[in-house]
Amino acid sequence: MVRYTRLLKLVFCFTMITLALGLGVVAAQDTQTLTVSFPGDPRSETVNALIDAFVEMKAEAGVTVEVVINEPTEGYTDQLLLDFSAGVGPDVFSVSADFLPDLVGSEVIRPLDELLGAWAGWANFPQGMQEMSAYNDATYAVMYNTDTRVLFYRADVLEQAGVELPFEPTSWEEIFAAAEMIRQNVPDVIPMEVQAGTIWGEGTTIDGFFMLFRGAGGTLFDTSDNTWIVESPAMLDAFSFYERMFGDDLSAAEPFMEPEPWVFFLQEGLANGDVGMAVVVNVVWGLYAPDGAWGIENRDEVLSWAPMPAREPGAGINNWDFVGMGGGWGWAMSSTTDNEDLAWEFIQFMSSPDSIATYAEGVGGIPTRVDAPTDAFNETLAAEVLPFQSFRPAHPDYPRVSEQIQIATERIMLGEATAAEAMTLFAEAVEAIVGAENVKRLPIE
Amino acid sequence: MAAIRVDAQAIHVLNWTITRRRWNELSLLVFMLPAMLLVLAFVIIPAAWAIYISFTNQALIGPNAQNFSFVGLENYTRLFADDEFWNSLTISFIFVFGSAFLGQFLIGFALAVLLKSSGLLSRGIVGGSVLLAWVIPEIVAVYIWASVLNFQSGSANQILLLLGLERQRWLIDTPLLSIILVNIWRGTAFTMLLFSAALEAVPKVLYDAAAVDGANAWQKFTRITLPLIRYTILLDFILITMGTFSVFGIVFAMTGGGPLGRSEVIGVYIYRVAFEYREIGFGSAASVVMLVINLALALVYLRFIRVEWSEAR
Repeated sequence: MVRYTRLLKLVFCFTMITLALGLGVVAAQDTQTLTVSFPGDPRSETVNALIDAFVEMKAEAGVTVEVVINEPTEGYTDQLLLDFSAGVGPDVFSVSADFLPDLVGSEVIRPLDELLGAWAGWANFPQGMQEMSAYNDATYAVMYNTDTRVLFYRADVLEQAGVELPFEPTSWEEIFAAAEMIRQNVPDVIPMEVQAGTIWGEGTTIDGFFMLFRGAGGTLFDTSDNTWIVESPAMLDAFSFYERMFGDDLSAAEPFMEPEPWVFFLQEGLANGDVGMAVVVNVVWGLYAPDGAWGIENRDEVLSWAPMPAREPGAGINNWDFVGMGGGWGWAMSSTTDNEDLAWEFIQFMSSPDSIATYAEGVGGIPTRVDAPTDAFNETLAAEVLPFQSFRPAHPDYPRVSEQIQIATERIMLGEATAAEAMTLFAEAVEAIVGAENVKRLPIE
Repeated sequence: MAAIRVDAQAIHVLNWTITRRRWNELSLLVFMLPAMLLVLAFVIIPAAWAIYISFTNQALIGPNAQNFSFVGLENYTRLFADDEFWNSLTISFIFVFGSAFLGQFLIGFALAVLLKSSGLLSRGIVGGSVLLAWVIPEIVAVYIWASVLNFQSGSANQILLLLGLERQRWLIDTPLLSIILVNIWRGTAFTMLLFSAALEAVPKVLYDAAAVDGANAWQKFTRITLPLIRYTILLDFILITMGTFSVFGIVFAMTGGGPLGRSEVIGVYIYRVAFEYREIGFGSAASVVMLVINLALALVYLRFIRVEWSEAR
């Protein structure tokens, strides 16, 4: 009999523990939990501070919110996709605008239109910012930060080379002329850097190729008949720019093929005055601030910038004189969230004028709301570059087409193909990826 | 009657009787269980899952992300028709041959033999520095070598300039050679350690006896050392070929597989199709082929070892 009593005791204890745990779970449900994903470092500190402020705000309203943060520093999109495919996607996540079509296709992102319609704040986002997060007639995110690309230059190098300052080029010829003067008069300096090759990844496509391609009036994806334009005069012009830049020794090919070319060209090169000019995302301006990560002590004296000109005035897309390529990040809600109200509150909080300004100040980039305060640099950008802003094609095949663009620039850079040959190879490769029926070739004069 | 009673032959719990022998087996199993569960959860199930996924069209994004379907052998037929796959396989074989066989094995073996007969100081310095290359993290090794092979200011080119030679474009003109060198530098220590231990285990009396019989150093090496460490040689081969075949980090960070795919080993190819093109099904098919090759290599080696064992008995 003794042993059965012991067994009963055990069963009793086990039941009590289970019950206690169960009660604990029930009690804990007063706390609302929100899972948030965003790319970590170098954004981590700023975003975490904003999240803390959100939690505090809710606490003051008598609601305990626990935010579970997922902030990978590498491979953010891969991580996000894997989380979704494993069924553990976040409630709210930060998303790059060009990534939206993929997420929509995966059915993991929730359209926000009816929520946005009832939100007073939405009217403070300019049309371009509203359209950036739209795909197939629905809006999927609230953009909180945007960027553009401009031509940064070292004023001290250009002055030494004999280029008249301020440098305000209106055509590619003027850029080449200035680069040639640097090459001749300041021989230790690499005259210019336009991103090329596969190591730089997407940077090559958006910061490099597209800034040239749009300046020659190019369109990569024709939305009227859903085809990829794989050969065009504009593409040949863009590739020819690379051919001339590397062929005339106006840049250096080798560092593009070494690990982390951005460290060589930007973090060190432009910061130390070893690179004369570079077409780069505006965010570097903040990195170059005296107290920034790539700090230049006397930044405002030695570093300057100009909008990137079209090939010639009026040659750009929409007959523009200048070009800017835009990207941006927004907050989006997962389609599987069972915490919709809190998620939407969070997105609104993170998209307030103050939050957006705090982010731009802490991380860089341009605020997306007209009522968010910003600095003089961003105001000039908004006035001089954002009117000429265009975007990459929103299409699920884009990443693979983009890789082919990077390969084409790599071939030209290494001297293994002329601009025309590289374009032919590019066209063949894209045809193989998307199918012959989805490509077209424009006549080259 | 007590609940548990133990006597010399068996253990009695309630109405069950377990013999001592059975009990021992059982306890062995219980002790192995956690390790086996871990292997099951982190090796066997993922591998089986990858094989399953390789027959589907699962993608990381798009409609096929959530609702993927069975596509039979499609991924494999596509894979075998893909020139880039064959390219990566060829490069992997060259990489393994150059890095594992010519490099790590021969150099590591030679170092072990030389260090055995050298003085304590040189042993410490050489052995220590080789070992250092092995213990530092992969990515740090990449940064070290990136700065050595850097075109503008890398020490390799500085040395060439000092010798009156031209700068070399290491990562552009000889990318495969560069990553082979880095991997040799990093992996040699393992072979060296393995053989140092094996050489220590060869009884000294055998050499003394051979010396009495008038054997020279080469004869001692081929007649005594080599036969006695055959097993270690095989083991080393298995470990370094499989390890080198699966190398990813060094190549990915160093050259990204480039330029234009000229250093794209199979690991980098798999990463590209699975994560950059986001075709998990297709990438899994390539991984399965890699797994099969690794298993085949392992089987060949194991076969040799088994011959060794049966001979030894």
